[in-house]
Amino acid sequence: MRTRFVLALGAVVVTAGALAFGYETVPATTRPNAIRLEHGVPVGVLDTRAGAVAAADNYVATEDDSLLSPSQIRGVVDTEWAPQERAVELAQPFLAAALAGEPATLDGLKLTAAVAADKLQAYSPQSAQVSVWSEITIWSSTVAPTQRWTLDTVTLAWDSGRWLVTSRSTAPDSSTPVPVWTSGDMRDRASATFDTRLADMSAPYYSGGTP
Amino acid sequence: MSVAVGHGVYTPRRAGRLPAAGAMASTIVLLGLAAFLLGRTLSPVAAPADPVAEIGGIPVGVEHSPAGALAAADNYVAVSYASVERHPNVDTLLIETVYAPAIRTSAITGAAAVRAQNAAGMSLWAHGGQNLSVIGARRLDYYAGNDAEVTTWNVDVFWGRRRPPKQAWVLTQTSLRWTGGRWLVTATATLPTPGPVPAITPQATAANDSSDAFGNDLAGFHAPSYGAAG
Repeated sequence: MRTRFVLALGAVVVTAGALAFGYETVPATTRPNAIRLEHGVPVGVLDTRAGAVAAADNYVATEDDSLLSPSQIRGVVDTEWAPQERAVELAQPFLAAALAGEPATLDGLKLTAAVAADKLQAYSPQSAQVSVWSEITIWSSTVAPTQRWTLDTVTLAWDSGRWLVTSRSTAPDSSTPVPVWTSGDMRDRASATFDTRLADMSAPYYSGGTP
Repeated sequence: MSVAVGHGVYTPRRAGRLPAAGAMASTIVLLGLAAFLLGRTLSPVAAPADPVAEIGGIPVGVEHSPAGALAAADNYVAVSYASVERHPNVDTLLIETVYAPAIRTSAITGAAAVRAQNAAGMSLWAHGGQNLSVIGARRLDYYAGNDAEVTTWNVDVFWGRRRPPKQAWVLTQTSLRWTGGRWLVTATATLPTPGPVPAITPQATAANDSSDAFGNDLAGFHAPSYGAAG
């Protein structure tokens, strides 16, 4: 009887110890990924300061990157935006125009979107606000490569294990930094150069950096 | 033949207990193993790992996959362009951390040559100039187990006092080799022009294309870090 008690006690101690040991010894250098893909759309899944920045960066870039694809826009907004705000976002001028098709303006048009800089304005475990400075470049056989810079303030809410956008406000052009001088010459600035040199390229994902 | 009787000697009376004790010990070991694995799973850092780790302040690609190679190249290119002139010590640390040993010396020498050839740029940094290095897009040219090549379209945006903001776009090709649990750069080159340069900025005005606008509106901003979606 005493032997059984000792064995049972030993089993409990070993189990509890092993559980704690496993919990504590996951390599510290392994930091969790701030984003995961859902139906091809990056979702911010880390409730930290860096996780909020990663979410905002990816959400801005992904939404802008989908502006020429009506079928993608709805999926992106449905994945990244809080349910009560989706209709409002889809009614914004650029998105509404894209959803409407407007073939005359979209035909053959190509687009890249990239985040240039970010700044965490506020964070709590429930919400965050991030400013994102980003650029969009469009071109086609009839449209010379043209840039548009935006300075957005993205408000996020942590909901069921993910960050959701509750608002995205864009600063007026007068308050948006725009670097006019560019490198290169006419050949670099031609649509044909964009077509050939950027073939099969895709936008990066953003990690938010060190938590 | 005589059989000694005493402690530790197999006797018919103990014959049934030894297998039972062994089974119990095995059960405890299995329980412990299961609990250890459960503990790892429950740990908050057991979520899908970031393909990039930070070692000594340098982002290091640590995921052996196509997406991991892309994330490694994104970060290496961004840090290299951001630091080669403005923060030479960071650039040297990058080279020492993620460049293959065989090219470290030549890479450090090459970076010094870049600085020596750009007196205007070095003057800009010496007088408080700012820059942001940005990845516009990239392509995995090939991925073959331990080797990968990535072409990156990237821009350096820079400005300073009485130096209007500028953007310089280039195409960069980076060869990587998986070595010792990380992606190491085995070759890097800026590709010859033409490189795509978006030069039309219709929203620009004298106000938002100024060093003051950049200094004020982008105060406290950081270049993004790059990753991969899990």
